[in-house]
Amino acid sequence: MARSLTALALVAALGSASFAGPGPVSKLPSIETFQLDNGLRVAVLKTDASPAVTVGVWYHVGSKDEPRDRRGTARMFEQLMFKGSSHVRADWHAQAIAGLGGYTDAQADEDATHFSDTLPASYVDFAIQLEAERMRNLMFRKAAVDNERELVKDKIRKQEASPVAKGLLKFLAVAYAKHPYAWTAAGNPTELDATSIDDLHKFYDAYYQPNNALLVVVGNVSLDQVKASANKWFAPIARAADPPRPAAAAPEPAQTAKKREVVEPGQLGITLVGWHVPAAKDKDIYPLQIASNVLGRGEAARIKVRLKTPDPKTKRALALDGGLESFVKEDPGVMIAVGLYIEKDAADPVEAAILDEVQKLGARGPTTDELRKAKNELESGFVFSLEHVQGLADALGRSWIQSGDPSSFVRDVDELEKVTAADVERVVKQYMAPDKTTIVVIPPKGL
Amino acid sequence: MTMSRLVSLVILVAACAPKPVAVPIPKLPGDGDTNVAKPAPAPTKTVDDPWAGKTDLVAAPAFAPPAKLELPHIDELKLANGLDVMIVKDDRLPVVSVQLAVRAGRQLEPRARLGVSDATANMLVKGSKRHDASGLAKAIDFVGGTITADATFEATIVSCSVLARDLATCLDLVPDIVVQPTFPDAELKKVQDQMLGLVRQRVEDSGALANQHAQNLLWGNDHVRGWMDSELSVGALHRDDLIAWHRDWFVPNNSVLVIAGDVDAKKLKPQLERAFGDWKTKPLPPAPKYHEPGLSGIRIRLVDRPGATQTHIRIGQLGIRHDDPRYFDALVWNYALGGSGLGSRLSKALHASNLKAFGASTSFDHNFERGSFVVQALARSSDALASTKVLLAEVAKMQKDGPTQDEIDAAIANIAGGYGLRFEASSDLGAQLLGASLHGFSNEYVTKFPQMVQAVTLASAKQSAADVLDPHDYVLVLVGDAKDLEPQLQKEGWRYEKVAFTDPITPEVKQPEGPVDPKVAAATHKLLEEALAAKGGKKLNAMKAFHWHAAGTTSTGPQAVPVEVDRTFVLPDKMRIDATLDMQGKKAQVIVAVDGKVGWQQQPDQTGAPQLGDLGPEELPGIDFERWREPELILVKALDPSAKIMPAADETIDGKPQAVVRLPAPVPGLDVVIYIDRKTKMVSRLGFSDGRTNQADDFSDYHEVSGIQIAFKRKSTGGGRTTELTLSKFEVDPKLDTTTFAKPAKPQ
Repeated sequence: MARSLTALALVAALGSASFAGPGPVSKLPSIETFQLDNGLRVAVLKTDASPAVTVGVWYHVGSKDEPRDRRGTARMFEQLMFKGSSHVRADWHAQAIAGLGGYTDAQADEDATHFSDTLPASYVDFAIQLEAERMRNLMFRKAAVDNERELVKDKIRKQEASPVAKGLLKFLAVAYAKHPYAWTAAGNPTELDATSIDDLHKFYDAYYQPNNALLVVVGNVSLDQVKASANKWFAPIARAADPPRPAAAAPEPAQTAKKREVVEPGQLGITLVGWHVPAAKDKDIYPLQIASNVLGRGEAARIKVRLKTPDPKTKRALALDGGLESFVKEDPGVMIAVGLYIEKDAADPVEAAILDEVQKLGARGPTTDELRKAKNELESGFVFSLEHVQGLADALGRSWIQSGDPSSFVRDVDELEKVTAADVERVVKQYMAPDKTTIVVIPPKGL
Repeated sequence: MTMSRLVSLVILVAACAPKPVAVPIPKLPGDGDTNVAKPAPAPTKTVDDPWAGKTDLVAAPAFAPPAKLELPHIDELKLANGLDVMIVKDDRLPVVSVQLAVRAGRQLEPRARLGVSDATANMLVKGSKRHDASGLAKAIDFVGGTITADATFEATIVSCSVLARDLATCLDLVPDIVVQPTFPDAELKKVQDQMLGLVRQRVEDSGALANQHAQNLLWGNDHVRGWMDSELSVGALHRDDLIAWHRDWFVPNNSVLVIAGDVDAKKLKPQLERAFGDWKTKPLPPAPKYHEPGLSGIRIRLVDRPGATQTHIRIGQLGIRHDDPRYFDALVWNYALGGSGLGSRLSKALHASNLKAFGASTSFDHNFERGSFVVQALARSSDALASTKVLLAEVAKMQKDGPTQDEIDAAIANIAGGYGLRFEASSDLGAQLLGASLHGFSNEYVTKFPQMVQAVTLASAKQSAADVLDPHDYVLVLVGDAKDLEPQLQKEGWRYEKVAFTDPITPEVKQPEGPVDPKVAAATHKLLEEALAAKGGKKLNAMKAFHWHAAGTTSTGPQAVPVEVDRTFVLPDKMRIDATLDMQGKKAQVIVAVDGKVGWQQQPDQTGAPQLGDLGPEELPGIDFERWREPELILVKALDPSAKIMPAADETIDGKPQAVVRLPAPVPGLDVVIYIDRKTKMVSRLGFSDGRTNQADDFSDYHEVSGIQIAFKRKSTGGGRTTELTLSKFEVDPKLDTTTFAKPAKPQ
């Protein structure tokens, strides 16, 4: 079934679903890795299940690396990297890949910016050449920068038209007092206007370097082929200084008291209730993923059922919709529950209902069925993401960003399978306690 | 009247309700009832060219012919009920996809039931005999799978994907929703609202509007390809229409099942016999046949959208059938002409012309029957005609000279090269086989596709372009501001028809108004007399006034609001309606009262304070109609000697046969449709349409009060709202306060 509006809006708002799903698949071939002298890491997964190959480059740079007054910088590169380099005309990269029957992709989020080319496997060398070319030879032409800046601003405007997305941005700003997850990769129009070509160039020179990237190749290609191409095109690039890590200098302090803000009313009433969760590589993430699923994913999820089931007497539901999503990131992320409603006096009951459902899960844990459903959903979501070489390549890249190991994702399903009801109970009590809650209420203008 | 008052209050609720998420349409080679190609982004025109003269630019690699596509082992079988099945053993991952295609798509829809294939498909996942909508969702969620149903031009496709170990879930759900869907009314209302949303969105989306006008102008009003959904057509769909559509076409001998993934064919065969065993074969109704319109000369339609600064251009011609021997050649020259984004001839020509125009592309309908070939672009309105001429010149050039060898090579590299990428997932493989099967092609077609593309030669491509393209006969649609476009058209001396962007694209179906067969007229008259007698006959004729009180709910979205209604009627023309809505404990009261030609109303303002006011003269026609169509008295109106009753074909409501009589109202353009239960002779439904919304009022639970049969349960559906009421009191000739209809001095 289609995912709920809430879930979609939340995912869209953060720029990417950074959930680096669980699991090993028994038939998954082994992942080979090596490193060039200039620091470039390479991960190769050979599969003959597809005639295609995905060549991806994951740069370890996202919005959390942006200067605080230049939000949106990371996202500019989603576009700019297609706008020409010393030996490739503007737009030619994407056109050339399309001409061979393939397609390109690019995405910036809070932790990473990644690019990929998916095309018939026989052209793997060409795709690696194109990626090496734009790693260091990008051109910063004023006309192109101005044009891309307007496109990014337009995307921001469209996003801000969504009340849920807007509410989510507000939530993050309240939840994070220090860490740059206080903003997303979406960007800020005023700061984008203030971002000069020089600012962009500095950012590019700091982060778009071989020692800050992973080349990932998945498809019907051999390790030798990839080694030869990587050496040919990437090895000549010099290693650079280690990039600055502003987020490391701004760790989020532990939350010790409930935060609650009521902001300006909107057309739709939105209550966001959230909690900080540990970083992706922490083992507690597995039971938290299960808790997130039990509370907020699918028709039978507790928060959804509680908010949407009409009262038998009044025939009224508490809210129009609700759910919960978790944003597991390289640094400690968040889990956010959402309730959407129209009536002014629904805000308090919705908030109380969400907190009550969390408290109940912490007190008694999930049922056997809920635990099974959550594991099933997480596992199948993961397996289906592997059907395409691009999905596999993304799993390797995301794994590297979050854990430093491109193959760590293959252990996720086993880890999830081990989670018990008691584990879920424990992490809900530990991480989702009342004094660790952040609440943002956008009251409805109402009737 | 009542409902329109309620709407003003509760509309806020509807406006804020979350919009449903669209279900992705599965890919099928046979798809293509509309031209879905999206305009490419505007090219950045570079003033400076830092690459000019450079000799060390990266070069594209030489074309490497793709490896031959090997299909996994496929078992083909026919179940006892005639269902064709393909089982594809693909164990690359532990997943499985079950895809069932029923040859029931837009092309079979009757003119009077447009949208029925789409509505039926959407409703399949909204309830079956064994699962309601929520139960279905929970069952598939439990295993982390997906199940969808979508209608295309040629077929309805149900698709279920799960981990291989959960195949039983798909084998339970797919036959259940396909064989015994229940089409619950409450869910249908939501589906219709979604469909209405799409129709309204099209009016706002000039590109979509241009696509539909191009199809309509090309195929005309007598061909299914020329018919477009409208608010009226979507609103007119009833549950019975979906039931009839499903009964006629959803049969195993009209369907194909493909199961692809990590499965064991041997074990699966008996499981399939069990799962689909209840689905019985039966003869199909004849498929409608249409004459292809002859295309002679140029027809131009200007769709006026005042204030638009850009113009959407569409040039339409007839395309080719999927089994046309020139099909692969056409794929190749189409790629060169407009199928390769910024690299295509059209894009390059527009770019070189320095006109403000972009997003040029061309596309074919890939249907079994011949569809359309459409050229599209977007231009600044002042450049619209000049851009159109550039596009036409390129079409003429391609027709005359065909593509070059370089263009053919590039097209082959793209089409044949990228073909293998369509087979990554088991479900992709299943979809390709299903699509080929629907068009009557063997599996070999799927594997040989790249070779067929590579076999295209300069000569064959030239011949195909010369045959298929026609520089002299085409339709042209321009959607933009007529103020900008008309001077350009007049300057060129091009004749055109002009319509407003809000005009319906396809004329609405009108009931024939010719003379009624006297025998049928007499039978109808007799039926109405019987219905009147059953309703209460003389007692009804003697009634001078009535009052009723009812309670229930009214809803536009997921939340139902409790409502209480009082209705008082004194013949011939005094009427008062009091409605009280309970908005989370806050009462909102609306009163409308009318006496002859004067009336008043009371309703809350923004703060909730009651406001009293007179009804203006502009409200009178609506009031007259509301009084005239009073359900208790409608049979009396129908039997008035001046009434022009028109019998219509029988229909069914909840499986019960209904006589249908159309009764023109004294208000121009409005008819009331009366449904009379053939068995009980009671009125089951009154329907009417005011040209924008359709309303249906359903009546049930009849009891006698003072010798008159009164419906104690009433349900109104229309304009995105459903109101359900249960009467608690009905008084005939009640004692009324003399001030009942008089405007009070201050709000009550």
